[in-house]
Amino acid sequence: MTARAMPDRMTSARGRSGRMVRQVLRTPAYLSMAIIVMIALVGPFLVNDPLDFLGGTLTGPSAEFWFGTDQFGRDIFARVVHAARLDLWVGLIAAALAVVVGMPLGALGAYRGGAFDALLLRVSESFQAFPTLLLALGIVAALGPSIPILIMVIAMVNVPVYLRLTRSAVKPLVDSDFVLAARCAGKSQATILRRHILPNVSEIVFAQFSVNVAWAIQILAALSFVGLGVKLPTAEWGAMVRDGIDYMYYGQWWISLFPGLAILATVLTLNYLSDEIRHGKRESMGVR
Amino acid sequence: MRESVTSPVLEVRDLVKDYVSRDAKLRQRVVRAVDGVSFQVWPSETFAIVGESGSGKSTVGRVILKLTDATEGHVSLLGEDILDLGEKQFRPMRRNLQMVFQDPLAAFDPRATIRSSLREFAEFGGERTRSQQDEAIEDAIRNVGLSPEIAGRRPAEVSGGQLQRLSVARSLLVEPRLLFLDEPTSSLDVSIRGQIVNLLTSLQETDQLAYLLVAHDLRVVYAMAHRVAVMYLGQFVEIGTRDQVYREAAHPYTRGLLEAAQLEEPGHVGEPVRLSGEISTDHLASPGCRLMPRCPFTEPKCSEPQPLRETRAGQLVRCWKAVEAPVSIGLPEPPSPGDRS
Repeated sequence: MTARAMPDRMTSARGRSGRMVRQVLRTPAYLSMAIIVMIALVGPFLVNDPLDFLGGTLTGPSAEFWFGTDQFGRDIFARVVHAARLDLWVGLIAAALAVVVGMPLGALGAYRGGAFDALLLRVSESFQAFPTLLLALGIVAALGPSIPILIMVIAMVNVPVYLRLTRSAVKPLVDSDFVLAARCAGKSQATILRRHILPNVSEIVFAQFSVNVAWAIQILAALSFVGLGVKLPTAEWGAMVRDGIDYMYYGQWWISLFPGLAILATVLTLNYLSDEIRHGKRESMGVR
Repeated sequence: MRESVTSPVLEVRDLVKDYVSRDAKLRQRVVRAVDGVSFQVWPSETFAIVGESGSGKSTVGRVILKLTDATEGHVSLLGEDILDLGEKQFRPMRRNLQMVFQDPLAAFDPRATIRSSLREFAEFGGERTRSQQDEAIEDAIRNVGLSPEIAGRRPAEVSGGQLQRLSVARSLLVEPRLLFLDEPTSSLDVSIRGQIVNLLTSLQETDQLAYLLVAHDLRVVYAMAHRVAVMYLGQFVEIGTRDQVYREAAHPYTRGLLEAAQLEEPGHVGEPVRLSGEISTDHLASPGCRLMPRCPFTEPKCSEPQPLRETRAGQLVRCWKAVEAPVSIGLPEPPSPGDRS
């Protein structure tokens, strides 16, 4: 009778979190993501002020300045670490915003069908007809760059991705037997969506979420690179890469290289993580 | 309860269901999956619809449960017309009729525990408190011969036969009057089928349940049904009591099915019929007998419209030959009305 005393979802939550912990310890994707998040969280407290002119200008990597200094004598290592916080934040919030808008819309479209669904699809298609970056560029150019606007724009260009993804994942569930069973139990559409449909598509959406954070970071970096994103001297990876480009020709490679590597490492990790999430889903579903 | 003995739980009249699709050139294509079906199901009775895949038999059940909309016709549940009701108005009435699905693994949310899947039904109408729900769930699980500990598991951790029992338990939690059994055994191992059949039969006795059984397994139908309708391409071609249909089948299609299943009872009448070809919606357009392309007794007259006509008492057949010239299709002359006891 111990089973009876336990609330319905408790057993599952415990089993799943145990599996998650084991996975984190086992797979490099989770480990490397954890390291990046730690750097973003506590790193800024441990390194130099990213805006301070600390040493000689344009000194290469040394024991004092691991990643060297830029043309104003700022510590590039400190700037890369501080930028991690900014880039991850923007990426996370933008991707989360895109999920919050796109997922319910996509699910509703698939569930309702008809004209509402068709309208959603046409709108999202017209968004996707433009290259994402170009679209983002255009909107930022029109509205002027500031961090909130950047987040909104990056989220907006990502909404169609979630809308279509959720829609295609929900579509086959709408006519599935367990949804029909819930209807037989007298459940309303909203209850069925919340209890049965959204939980069953969440893994697919979260796998996409991870890729999407990476994508958002790339868009942010790209916008900053062309001067329409974060303004210098604020430390941001894309802006820093742009900052160092001119010095590349004269052999001062470190200004651009290290922020570039940071983008690469973060994006790769997030993509890898997405694969892991998808893989984990397949494992947990394949019980029988 | 008294009035329920004299009136049917479910009454279906001239039910029509069209599926509309568009082909590659966007031309509308209408497939009439159910074409003018009428029947009644009485309390404590099992009414079975048999037929090949694609005959439209499952669609009948889904329309009755309002899981899909009917095109035309009338369906009344406990005397109340339900086809024109909206989903919201119909929701409270859902407690009267429930469904058991073909594949139990698909019928349970893979992420939910058995208990929370059952709770969805236990909380119907909001009449039970949480602890009453728990109690009702435990009773329901015991009622189908399982131990309540199974409630903590997930569908993938339960065997198919057990899960089908739980599916029955779940639908009984709302105390329905009619259960639509959609191929309840066909996804189960042969060794398990008998258990489910026995379970359903004994539940029917204790709860006075009415069953609408849809199946293609003629053995399961024989074991459970009181009356049987044979469906072909959206129409009933023969209706009768179980013994009439199994022993005195008059329609060539029914006899072909029995022959194919090698199920002739020792006492059955008529010579075996072998059907050729396969069921195909191409034959839907024909105004006459839809079995014509497959029937060994086809004659020009078969392309005239074929109404359901009575052969023996209570037995309806959609075949003019079976009624007018039984000997020509290998049936003995029917006894004159009144000969039957």
